[in-house]
Amino acid sequence: MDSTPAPEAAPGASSSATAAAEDLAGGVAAMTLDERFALLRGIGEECIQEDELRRLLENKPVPICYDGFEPSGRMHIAQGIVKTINVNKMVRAGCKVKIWIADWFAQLNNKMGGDLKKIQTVGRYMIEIWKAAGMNLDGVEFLWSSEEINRRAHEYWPIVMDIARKNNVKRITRCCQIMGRSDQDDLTAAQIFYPCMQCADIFFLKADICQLGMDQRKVNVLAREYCDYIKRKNKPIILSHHMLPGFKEGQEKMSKSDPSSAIFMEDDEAQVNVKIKQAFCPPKIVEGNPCLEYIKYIVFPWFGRFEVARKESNGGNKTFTSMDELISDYETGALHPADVKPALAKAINEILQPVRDHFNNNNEAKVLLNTVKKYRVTS
Amino acid sequence: MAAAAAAAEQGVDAARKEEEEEQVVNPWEVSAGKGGIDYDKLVDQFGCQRIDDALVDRIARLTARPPHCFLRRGLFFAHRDLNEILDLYENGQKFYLYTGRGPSSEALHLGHLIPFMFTKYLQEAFKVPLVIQLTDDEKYLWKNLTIQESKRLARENAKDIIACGFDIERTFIFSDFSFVGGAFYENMMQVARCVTMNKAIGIFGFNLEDHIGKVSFPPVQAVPSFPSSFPHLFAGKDQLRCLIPCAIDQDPYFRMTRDVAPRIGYQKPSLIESRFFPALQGENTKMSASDANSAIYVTDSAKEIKTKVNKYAFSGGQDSIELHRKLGANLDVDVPIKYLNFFLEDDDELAHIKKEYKEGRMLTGEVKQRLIAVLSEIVARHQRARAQVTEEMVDAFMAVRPLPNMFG
Repeated sequence: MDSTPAPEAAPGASSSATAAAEDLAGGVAAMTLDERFALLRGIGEECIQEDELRRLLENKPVPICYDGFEPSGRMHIAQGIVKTINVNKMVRAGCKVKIWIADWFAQLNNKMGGDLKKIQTVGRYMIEIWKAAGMNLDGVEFLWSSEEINRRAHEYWPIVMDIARKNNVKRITRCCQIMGRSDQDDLTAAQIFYPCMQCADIFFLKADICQLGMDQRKVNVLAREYCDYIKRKNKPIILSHHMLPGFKEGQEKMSKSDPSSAIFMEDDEAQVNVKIKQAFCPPKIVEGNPCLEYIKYIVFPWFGRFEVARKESNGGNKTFTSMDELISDYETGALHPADVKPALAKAINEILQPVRDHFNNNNEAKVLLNTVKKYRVTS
Repeated sequence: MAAAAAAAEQGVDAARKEEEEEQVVNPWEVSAGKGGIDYDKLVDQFGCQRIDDALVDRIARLTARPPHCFLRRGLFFAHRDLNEILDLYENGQKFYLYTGRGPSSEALHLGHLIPFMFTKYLQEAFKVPLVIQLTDDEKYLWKNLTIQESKRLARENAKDIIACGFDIERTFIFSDFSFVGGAFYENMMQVARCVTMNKAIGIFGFNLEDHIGKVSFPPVQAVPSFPSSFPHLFAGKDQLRCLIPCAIDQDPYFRMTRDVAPRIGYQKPSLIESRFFPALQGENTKMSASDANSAIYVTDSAKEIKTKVNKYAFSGGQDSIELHRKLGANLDVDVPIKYLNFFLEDDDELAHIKKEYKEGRMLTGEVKQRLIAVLSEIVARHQRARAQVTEEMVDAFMAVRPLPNMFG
C-alpha cells in the first residue's frame, strides 16, 4: 500500500486565539481570590455589597457579569474605551460578560425616531468599535434584547409583570429620572414601563454582577429590593462605575448632543487636539477637573503610565507611573495645564488610532460607519 | 495515550483474592490484590529505575526552581533513562516532551489532570516543546464509539488540556484521526515491521479473538517518541531526545518503543512514571467514569466535592473518638491523606496534618475539611480556565505549524 499523503496544514491560527491562549496560561487560573476581587472592585466607584462579591468569587467558578447599553447616536470615549477596559478586567477576573444590546429599549426611548432597523445597525457599529478597540471577545456574549426577549418570552414577561405588581408607581417613577426627566406629568407610559423591564433583564440574564454606570444605580437597587420580596438569597451585586464628566466647566456628564463636551470614537486627530485644548483644566485644582479624570480613568488603565513632554525650563520630560504622583505634582503647580493637555491629547490619539485604522481599512466596517453617518444627517 | 483512561476505567479489581500472587498492569488492564498495587514489585518486574531524593535534587538544581510536589511526594516515582536527559540538559542540549490522552469520555476527573499538570511543570521548568497526542482512533477501536463521536471527544478533552495553561508557542496538540500520515505514518510502518505477533501478544496481552484494529494500534502510540514524526517541528533533528511523563501502566508501550528505536536509527525515549490516582473508596476500589462517587470530576461543584469527600473518601481513622485519640489514624490506607499528599502544596502544613492525624489529635472530619477546601479551589480554577477556552484556541493549538521559539 502506498503511503498516504502528508496531512495538509490546518488553517493558520488566528492571532486572537493565540493571544487568548497565552492569556489563559498566565491568567485567571493562577490568580488568587484577593487579586480577582481587587481587579473587579477596582472597576466600580461603588460596590453593593463587597462581602457578597468576595463570597461570589469564592463560590462560583465563572460568575456572570451584565453590562448593557442602548444603541444611539455617536459613541463617546467612555463608552468606547472605558467599557473595553472594564470588560477586559471582568474577563481577566474569570467572569463571563453578557452585553445586553438594548435595541428594544432604545425604541421605547424613541431613539433614532423609533426605527428598530436603524437602532440595530448602530448597535452593530458599536460592536465593531469595541472589536477594533481591543475588547477581549472570547469572554463576551452579545445579546440583542429584541431577539432574546422574543425567543424566551414565556420567561421574560412574567418577571416584568411580577416586578410591576410588587412596586408602586412612585417607586418606579424614581427610577425614571435616569432618562433625564423629573416632571411626573411629562412621563409617558413607556417611561414607566422601562425600569420594570430593565430590572427584569438582570434576572432574565441570570446575572451575578451588574456592571453599569452610577446613573443606572437606582434600577439595580430596585433589583435587590425585588430579591427581598421574592425571598431570593443571592442578590445581584452592583458594581457602579464612575461617570466621566464633560469637558466644560461643571458639566457632570458627557453629552452626545454637545460635540465639544467629549471625545467621540470617530473623532480624528485634529478634533481630539482641539477639544482637549479647549477643555476646562484649572491650574492646581484636581477636583472636578475633566482632563485629570480622563488621565485617571483612560490613560493610566490603558498604558500604566502618563508621559509628559516639557521644555527643560518648565521641568523637562517626565513619565508618571501613578495617578497619585501626578496629582501631587499638579496640586503643587509643578505640572501645568499647558503641559498636561498636549500629553493627554497624544495619549488619546494613540489609543484611538487602531480604531481609526480599522474603519479606514476594513470594508465592512467602512460601510457600517458610512451608513450610521447618513442616519445622523437625516435625523 | 490511555494513561489516565486506564487508571479511570480499569483500576483495581476488588474481586481479586487476597492470596492472588500475580498482579496485572498493562495499558488496558490493571488489577491487584486487596492491598492495592505493589509498586515495588512493579518496578522490579518492569525493570524501571526508582526516582530517589538525589534525582529530585538534581532536577531542582538544573531547573533552578523547587521541584513539583508530585516529584517531592513520590507521585512520579519511577523512570527510564531520566538521568540521560538531565545529562543532556546540563550540557546545554535540549529534548522534547510527549504526553497524551485517550479521549474516551467528557467525564474527566482529577486523576486525568495529573499527567497534564505535571507536564506543564516540566514544560515551564525546562523550557522545551511538547507534543500531545489524542488517540481518538484508539478509543474508536476499543470502545463502542463512532468515529465522529471519537473526534468530538478528542476536541472536548483538548479544551480541558488547554485549560491547564500550556504555552501555545511550545505546544502542539494533535488527534490521530486528523494527523496520522506522511512522516508519522512512515515511522509507524517501520515500528510495525520490527515487532512480531508473538512479541505483541507478550507485551499487550492480545489474543486471537481480538480484531486486527487492536493489533495495528501500538505503533500509533510509539512513534510520537521520534522527532521525525513531526517534520514541521523537528526537521533535521532526528536525534533529538524525547521525555514521556506517563502512568506506569503505559510502560509496556514504551518498552516496545525503546526496543525498536535503535534498530530504526532513533534515540530511545526516556520516561518518568507515576502511580495511579486512588479512587475515593480506597486503593483497591475501581475508579470508574460510570461511578460518579468514585472520583472528583472537574465539573463538580464545591457542594458536590464536599459531599463526595465526606461520604465516600475512605478513612484510616478509628471508629470512635476515644479509640482515635488512643491509636491515631492509619495513614497508609487513608484516602484524604493520599489526596492531600498530592495536592496540598505546603510541605510544612502537610507534615503537620500527618503528624497530628497519626497521633490522634486531629480527627478525620478536620482532615476531610482541609481536603475539601484544597480540591474545591483546584477544580474551580480549572472551571474558570476551561470556560475561557474557545474553538479557535483549540484550532490554534492543533494547527500544524512551526514553533520557532520552542527552545527559547
